[in-house]
Amino acid sequence: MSTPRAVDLVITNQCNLRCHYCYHFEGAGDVARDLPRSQWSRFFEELERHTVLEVGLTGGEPFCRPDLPELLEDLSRHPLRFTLYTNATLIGPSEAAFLAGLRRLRAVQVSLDAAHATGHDACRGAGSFERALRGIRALKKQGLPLSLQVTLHRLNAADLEKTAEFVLEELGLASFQLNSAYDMGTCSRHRQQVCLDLDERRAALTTLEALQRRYPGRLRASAGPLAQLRRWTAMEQARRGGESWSQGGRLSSCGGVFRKLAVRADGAIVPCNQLSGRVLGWIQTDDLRQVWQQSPELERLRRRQETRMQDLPGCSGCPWSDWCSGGCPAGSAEGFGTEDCLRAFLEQGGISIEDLVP
Amino acid sequence: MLELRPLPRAGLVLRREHDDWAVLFDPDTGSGFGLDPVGIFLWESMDGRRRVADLLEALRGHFAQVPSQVADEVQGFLRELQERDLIQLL
Repeated sequence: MSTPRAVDLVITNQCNLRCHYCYHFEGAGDVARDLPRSQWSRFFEELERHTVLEVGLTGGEPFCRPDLPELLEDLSRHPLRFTLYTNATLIGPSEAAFLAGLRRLRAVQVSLDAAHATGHDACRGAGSFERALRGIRALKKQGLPLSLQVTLHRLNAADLEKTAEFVLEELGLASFQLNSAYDMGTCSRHRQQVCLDLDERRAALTTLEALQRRYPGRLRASAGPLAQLRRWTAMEQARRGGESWSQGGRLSSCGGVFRKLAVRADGAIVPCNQLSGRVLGWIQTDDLRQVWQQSPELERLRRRQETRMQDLPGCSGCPWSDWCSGGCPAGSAEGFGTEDCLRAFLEQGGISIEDLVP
Repeated sequence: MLELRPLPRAGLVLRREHDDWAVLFDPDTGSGFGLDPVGIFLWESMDGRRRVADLLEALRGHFAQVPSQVADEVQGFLRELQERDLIQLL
């Protein structure tokens, strides 16, 4: 690809909440200033010039930007689709009506962690559940494409089944997305209180397995326990069937560096929002195509896929090394995601692969 | 059909991907349609003025070893684009 297909933009570093598991704040992406609208608008033109097709707008909380409506109108003039990531607590009827009038809004993704205030507010602050729900209902009333993100943590994981019922049955959404608190940013400071321990991860996997059967095709995940369960199941089934995967067994992780980039609130171009300390260039001064094609850091990240899993320390002799891709590198000093390691999970949990994949 | 003049629908994005292929992307719906190098050449040659016969002539001049059934294939391709509302045949 000569340019990225998708770009995630942190359009503001401001947020009205301080969630205990936030990966953004207290990390490298937590910068002192936001770019002005004029700078973003010039960058939107560059996105069009380089035929970027999808944009994700995140923060912070996008609705903390007073000029968000103008910014979204600027973006809507370009031939690309965009998704807005929000906590919905600042969305009322007028904000939802405004969003409904925008062309090319692909989806509004709202974070909702539980079916009740106790589970949701535990990490997000008192009152945020009611305000998020009001926002969700306003978005639904406008018929906007709405998706929900549930982040599993120690204080809501036991209620996962009720959360699924609430989202899929009571709110009537077609599906929702799951991930889990990840040891980055603010979350690192609250690690003990929020990150699932081994027993909780195991319990979550059991619940998720049952929920997948109960709601086929309605639970989605690109990270966290559900993504791990699906990946591990596929790896074990491939191992048992003697399948070979063309991209398997290499340190390729999610493959994001081959299709997308991200931009911090201060204009730094980074590989993704989880790798926000690896600055590849600046939208104020650098050409996106040149960064995409010539950044030595990006090239180094892409070349990780030349590394065979079995050649990594700790992975030699692993029964799944021919199918594993190394997990997310963002939270790991070793350069691969130990949290996503199937063998470590089984060994530490004292369970067999047959328990996990019957 | 050879006398018709294909006109691409405005607002579509042609994005080149790897291996000389491209995707024709509709930003209003998010739908995409894959184009091979011949499809890209045809897409970029359509302007509402050139006839299908002109496109075929240009194609034969641009690519080596153009197969004999190319006229049928190009017309089938253009019909598919028309059915997908990606072009008009004027």
